[in-house]
Amino acid sequence: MADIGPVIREIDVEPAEEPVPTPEPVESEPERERELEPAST
Amino acid sequence: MSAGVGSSGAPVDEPILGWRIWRIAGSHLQAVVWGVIWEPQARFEARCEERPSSFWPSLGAPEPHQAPGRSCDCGVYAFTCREDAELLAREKVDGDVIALGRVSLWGRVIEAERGFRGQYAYPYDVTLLGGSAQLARRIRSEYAIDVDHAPAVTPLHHGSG
Repeated sequence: MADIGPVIREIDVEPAEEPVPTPEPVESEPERERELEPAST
Repeated sequence: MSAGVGSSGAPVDEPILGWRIWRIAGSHLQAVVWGVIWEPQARFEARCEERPSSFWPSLGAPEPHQAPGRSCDCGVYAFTCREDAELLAREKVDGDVIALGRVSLWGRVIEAERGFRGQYAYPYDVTLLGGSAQLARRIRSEYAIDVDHAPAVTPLHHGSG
């Protein structure tokens, strides 16, 4: 356990947005195929 | 009014940044002491692992509590100064690739003289000490954070004895 010394105080840290990256949505294959299909005539 | 020992002031709306180290397991960050993997793109939540002893059940084992407990040692640790984290890296390195960097802490945070213990955490940026530039790129991609690459540190015990 790291030695960080005696406690000074407690802090409530409430960021408006959590500093965690949002995983990029995984595009499903059928959707990609539909996007690649030429418009029907 | 300033916040003194034992008191909490107004909530802080920005994460606190501290310095810490991780081992590298595959392309994941791993807590040095507990060996827990920090999952990419998910907040890490501290849990108190203290359990009452079956041998001495009445001797001061903490009641179950939310980490970090004020009178416990639990929580996600981070140093205020980079130098303290570097020293820990040199003490702990044993042929491992080490990530040294900053971590965001939020939720309930205990501030101490030389660092913090936090409830929630996510790496902010890291430098790989050892490993390869390719490994640094993989970690950067998985965790979506800045990752630099530098030569491995020299263990404190290197060449002694």
